[in-house]
Parts: sequence; structure tokens; C-alpha cells
Amino acid sequence: MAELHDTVEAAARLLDLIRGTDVRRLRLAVDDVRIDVERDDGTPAITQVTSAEMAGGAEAVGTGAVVAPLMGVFYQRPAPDQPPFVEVGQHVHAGQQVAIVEAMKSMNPVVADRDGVVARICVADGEVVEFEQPLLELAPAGSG
Amino acid sequence: MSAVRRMLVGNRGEIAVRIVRTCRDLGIESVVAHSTADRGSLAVELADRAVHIGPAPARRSYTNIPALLYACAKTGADAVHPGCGFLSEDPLFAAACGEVGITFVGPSPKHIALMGNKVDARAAMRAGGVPVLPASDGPVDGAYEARQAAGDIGYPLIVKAVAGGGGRGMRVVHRPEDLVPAYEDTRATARTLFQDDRVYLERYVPRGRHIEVQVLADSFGNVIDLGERDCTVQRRHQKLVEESPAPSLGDDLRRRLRRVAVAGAESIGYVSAGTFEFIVTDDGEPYFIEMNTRLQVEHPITEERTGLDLVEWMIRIARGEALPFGPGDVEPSGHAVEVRINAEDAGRDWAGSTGRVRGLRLPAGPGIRVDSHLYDGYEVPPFYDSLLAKIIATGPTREVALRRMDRALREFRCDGVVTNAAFHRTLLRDPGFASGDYRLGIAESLCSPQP
Repeated sequence: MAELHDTVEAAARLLDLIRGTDVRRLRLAVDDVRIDVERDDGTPAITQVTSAEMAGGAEAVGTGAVVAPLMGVFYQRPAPDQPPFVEVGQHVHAGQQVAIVEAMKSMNPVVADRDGVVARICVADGEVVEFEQPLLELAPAGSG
Repeated sequence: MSAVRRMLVGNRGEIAVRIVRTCRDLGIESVVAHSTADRGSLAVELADRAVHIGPAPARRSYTNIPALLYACAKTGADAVHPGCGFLSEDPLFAAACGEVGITFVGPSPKHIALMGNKVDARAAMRAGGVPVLPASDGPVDGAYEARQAAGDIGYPLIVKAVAGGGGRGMRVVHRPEDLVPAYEDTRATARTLFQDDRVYLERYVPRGRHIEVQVLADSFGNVIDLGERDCTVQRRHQKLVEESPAPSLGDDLRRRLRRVAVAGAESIGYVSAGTFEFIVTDDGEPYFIEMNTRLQVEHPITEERTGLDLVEWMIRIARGEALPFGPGDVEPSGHAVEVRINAEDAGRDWAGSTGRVRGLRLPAGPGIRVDSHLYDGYEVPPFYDSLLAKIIATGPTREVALRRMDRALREFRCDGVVTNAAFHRTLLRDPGFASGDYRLGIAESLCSPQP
């Protein structure tokens, strides 16, 4: 029962995420990961991504969270007296640095895995974050 | 006195569950630090809280010191129990906890470091009046020195990594012509395993018994021993079955071992739970091999015979309490035996096996305790050691305890993963084991003729 509830919850969250985007159809299988995403114009955005391919860094699109690459301290700025890497509403491109997670004086860059617009910053500056904790949410960058 | 309100459990598997349970009993909140592979573990389920510290490989999660310290900072944990393995015998970790004001549930970094260096440990024990085997005078540098030392020690001998322990980083040499290859080989292994390629030579006792003594020491100089454990049933230097008391030890030798262990702990001012391991020769001479400065996998048989919770006493000692018992106050009674159920395929040279647990049935009933992290549907990950469950049988006599163990092994079922349970049933039927008079090599002799 708990599992079913979780699945329904997850589906509801996914629906929320694609609402207002040009995604027409989204099919998801969990074991061995199969995700099919179809756009309004019928072209597939992603098809049959296996976990291995995902680890290989297949280009991600759509809404998603940028997660912490390791456990450490989250920083929004390169240095205390400098502006933040990104702010809510800002466009980012795949590979762009969006934050730092510091672990024992080693500054580990956090980079966006997709193009998008920063929808939310989920963590306060200076907060300790877990491995793979969502740090910020990216929404699709519109039609362009 | 340092209060312990929230404990970070820096380990996984059955030992993490074990620590969470004692925390619950003591009213201490528990936080389990876990890797991606252990997201759905029983310890995570049972703890008050969980922290995802890193990906599956242990060096990026369970042995990642910064990640564990950040996990304490994030969750407000004021103490860490390191369990067995991983960071439990890393003096840097113990020291780092101390520096940031977190209570490390274990001995001081100084004692961990002393016993982690097998050459220094031998020297300290010899100075404390503990018998040690003939050995090279410290680390051996080069083939020439190795031959010289071997000439003094005699054959067979064992080449051991200075930074080794727990059965890792050692090679037995029976003939002079095998010495130099074994020496080079052990150095290379030690370099890979411990980033320290120093090795030393020690006399090897081929048909000995492996007997260890559990001690408990507080920070006020009180040291007690909780009896011995016989860990002679080993395969490739890894323990498979342990029992207490040691069945073939006379009372004089038993008393001597226990006295020597207490003296050893006192001589270095040791604090916390610790184990002195000895090899006992056929003519009844005990020699120190190493000291483990942590909780041991086989601690439950001592708990069953003494009624003490060793995890609880480690925590109480770490928060500054004094032992309320003196020498002789805790006398173990009855007989206890533990078998380790490992995910190992005896048919494929004991290769580790993985899979999803189905049809799990854990034994129970009078005299049976099971420490395990298994549940139906649990996926055994390929990243860590193969221990799945410890079955502990207790009875007033060895005969009763072994009969209960036989009952427990008949009840035990775990489909989906290949285990070594069949080996244990073979062992119980072996006349040598049943007699109690068995030696190192018994496991290999039972395994070799069958598939």
C-alpha cells in the first residue's frame, strides 16, 4: 500500500512538473529505467534511457533538480563578497556552474546538467547538504 | 561526563542495526549514515533519522571522514559509533571527531594507532608482559634482511604487513626458497591495501587454536575481562564460527589468557571495549597476535554469556561513566556459539553472491538470537562484505548450544541469494568439531573434498 501511495504521489509530482511545458506524453518505467518523453510536435525528447546511459551523461531536458555531487556545505557565491552564481529566473545552460559544495576546504563546482531557468533555490547559503540532495530546480527554457 | 543524546551510526548491515537497537534501549536518538546502495536498508528504516553521505563505493561514503563529520553537523549528532570495519580503527577519524567535539565511541586515537601498527603493538605487549612469537626486529627492508631474519626465526613463518590485521596482508612461508617471492608479494599487497608496504616476519604456528579475550576498560583505570572466544574455525584467515568458552582449553590456560589480556590493557592504559587475539600452540603456549580496538563481529556470544550489552558499555564508557563491577564480578556462564551466514557460493570457490532475498525465514525459539539486516525483498549489494546474518545459539552446555544451532540452521531459509549455511551444517556434523578438539585448517579440510 505504501508503495502504491508513493507511486501515485510521484506521478502527481511529475504531472505538476510538466504542466505548462510542451511535453505531451511522458512514459516512465522504473526498473532498468525507461523514460519516454514526447513533445507537442510529436518529436521524442528522450526515449528509452537506461540507467547505464544516464550515468554516461545523456543530455537531460525539461524540469529537474540539480543535486549535490557530494556531502558538504552549499555556497551560492564564488566568494562572500561576490554575486551569486545564479539567481531565480536566470537562464542557465548545460555545464554552467551554479553553486559550490565545499568539503574540507575543497571547492567542488556544481554544474547544471541541462539548459533551463532557475525556478527555485532549495537550500540556504551555508547549509550542510547530503549527497544528491536537490540544490536548485531548473524549469525548461521555453521554446527557444 | 559528556552527554550523548544523538548517535551517528557510521556503518551498515547488521552491525548498524545492532547499534540502532541499543541506542533505542538507552533513549539515545540514532542517525544512520548510509550510501546510495543502502538507501533501503533495515538500519535506515529503524533509525530515527538517516543521512545520505555518498555513493556506493565505501571510500566515497563509509570511509569518507569529511562526509561523516558533515553528517554530524547536519543532524546535530554529538557522538559517533563506528561499528566494525570501515572507520572503526582509523586513528585520524577518532582524532577528527575529538577535535570537533564529537564523542567517538571507542578508544583514543593513540591506542588505535598503537595497535594498528603491528610492530609497535608487539613491542608494547612484550613490554607489558604479554608473550609474543619470535619475529624480526621491526620491519624488514629488502630480500637480504628478510633471509637473515628468517634464519633466526625458522620455518614455517608468516610475512605480515605492519599496517595489516583482521587476516589481511599476510602470507605463510614453509620453505626458504618461497621466502623472497612471498616477501615481495606481501609488500605489493600491503601497498595496495594499506598504502604502507612495510612488512615483518613472525614464526607461524600451523595447527594452532585462535583464542581471543574480550576486555572492557573505563577511563578510571578499571579493566575487566569478559572471558574468551574460540575463533579457530576460519577460512583464509576469516572467521566463520566462534564459540565461548573455548572447548579445548584447560582452566589454567584459560585463567592465564584472561589475566594476560587484562595486564596488556592495563599496561597501555587502554579505554573502551577491546579484544586480545592469541594463537595457542599444540603444547598449550599462548602468544599475542593482535589487538582489535573496536567492537567485534562475534561480540554477541560474550553478551549471551555475561548478560552485558557491549554496545551499551562502549557508549557509557565513552560518556565518562565508571564500570560498576570489579575483577571477578562478571563471570560468564553457559555456552554460546555463533555462525556467520555469508553471501558466499561454496560451489564457486566461495565467491561473493548477490541477489534479492526471497522466502526469508530467520530461526527463533529457546536459546537462539539472530543479528541480521535481512528482510524479504532486500537486495544484497555487491559493494561490501558478505555478512548477512549471525545466528547465535546459547545453552547451559556446549552440547545443548550446538543442538540448538542445528535446529536454527534447519529453520533458516533465504532464497534468492546463495549462502554458506550448508557449510555450517557440515561443520556441526564433523566429529572433529563436535569433539571440541579442533585446530586451524578445519574449515579448509571440510570444504576441499566437496563441490
